[in-house]
Amino acid sequence: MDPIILQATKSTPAVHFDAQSSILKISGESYPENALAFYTPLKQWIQQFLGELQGSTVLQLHLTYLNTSSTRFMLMLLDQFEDAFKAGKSVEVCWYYHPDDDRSYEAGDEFREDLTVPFEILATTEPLGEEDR
Amino acid sequence: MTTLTSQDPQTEALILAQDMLDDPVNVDNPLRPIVQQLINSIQALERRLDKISVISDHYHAQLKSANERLEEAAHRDLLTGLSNRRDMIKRLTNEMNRVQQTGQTLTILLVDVDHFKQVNDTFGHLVGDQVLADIADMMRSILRTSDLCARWGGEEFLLLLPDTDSSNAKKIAERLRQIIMNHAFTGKDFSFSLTISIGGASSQPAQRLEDIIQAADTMLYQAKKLGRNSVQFV
Repeated sequence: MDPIILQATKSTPAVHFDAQSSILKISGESYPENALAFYTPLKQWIQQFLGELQGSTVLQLHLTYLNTSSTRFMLMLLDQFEDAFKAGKSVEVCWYYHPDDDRSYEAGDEFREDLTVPFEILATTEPLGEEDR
Repeated sequence: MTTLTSQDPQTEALILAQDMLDDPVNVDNPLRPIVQQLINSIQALERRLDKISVISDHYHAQLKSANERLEEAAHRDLLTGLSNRRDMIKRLTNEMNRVQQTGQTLTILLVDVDHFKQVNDTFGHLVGDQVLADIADMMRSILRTSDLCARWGGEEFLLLLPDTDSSNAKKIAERLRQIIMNHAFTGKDFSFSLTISIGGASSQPAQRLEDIIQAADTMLYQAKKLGRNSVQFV
């Protein structure tokens, strides 16, 4: 599986999906002009990745801003992890937020609410996926 | 009479579908599982929509407060936290409009730190910056809530005193001069005192804003010429 490595832009987050190292990170702000076009390849990649997954994986998210359509797609990605978890796969979600950013914490808490997949919310001052930039 | 359509189409459809399931006639209807599934998926979609709204609201609130902070910062002088010149001009213009409507008197004070260049030359710019920030704090401490103070230039400040005639403004200016004069600016390896000069002008009927500021500036020049550490009014 080819990795997806995207640098953050003004309106799209950095993405680091690497099947080999089982690292999945999305970080930054998301308000793409066309959220469908941005998130569809990510959704398809995750679909295949989770289908083939033998070991374990953690989806790491550090999202400082999501517009409405990005929120919708983020819920879809989380659904994929929820389904994989329910199918017995070893998957987790980690939601990072800056300690000064209450809103981002609350958003993470909302995302977690209806899920059974292990979902940690962690404060961090370190930007996630700095090595990708 | 207005007809109140109480339900949106999908809520109406949900009610109809539920009625159909509840109707004893349909007990053995082979469509039951499909209708039930449709009801479930519409309800799931509604929950999803609610969730998206809640999360979006969090982020929008965050964006809004960030914008407000930016907006606020655009009006401030970074070093002193006072209004900047641009903001003061806006406030002065508004206040002048009010003066013309109400006939109240406003007073403008121009304040300049005496021999400020010597502070920079002797102790360095960092100390100079600290001095300006300290003076700004002292100004804030004596101002009334309706007064406004701005960093007008390098070491020059403009105080806008609405609804204040020159005799009251003089008392404020004199108090400020004394507070600064009696203050010791101290750091790790220095301690010194400073003075300020103040020029004041109160609005006259039909006077333009530029003319009041110009008059205050002339008085400030006068205060400097008279040996500094002084308050001069038109």
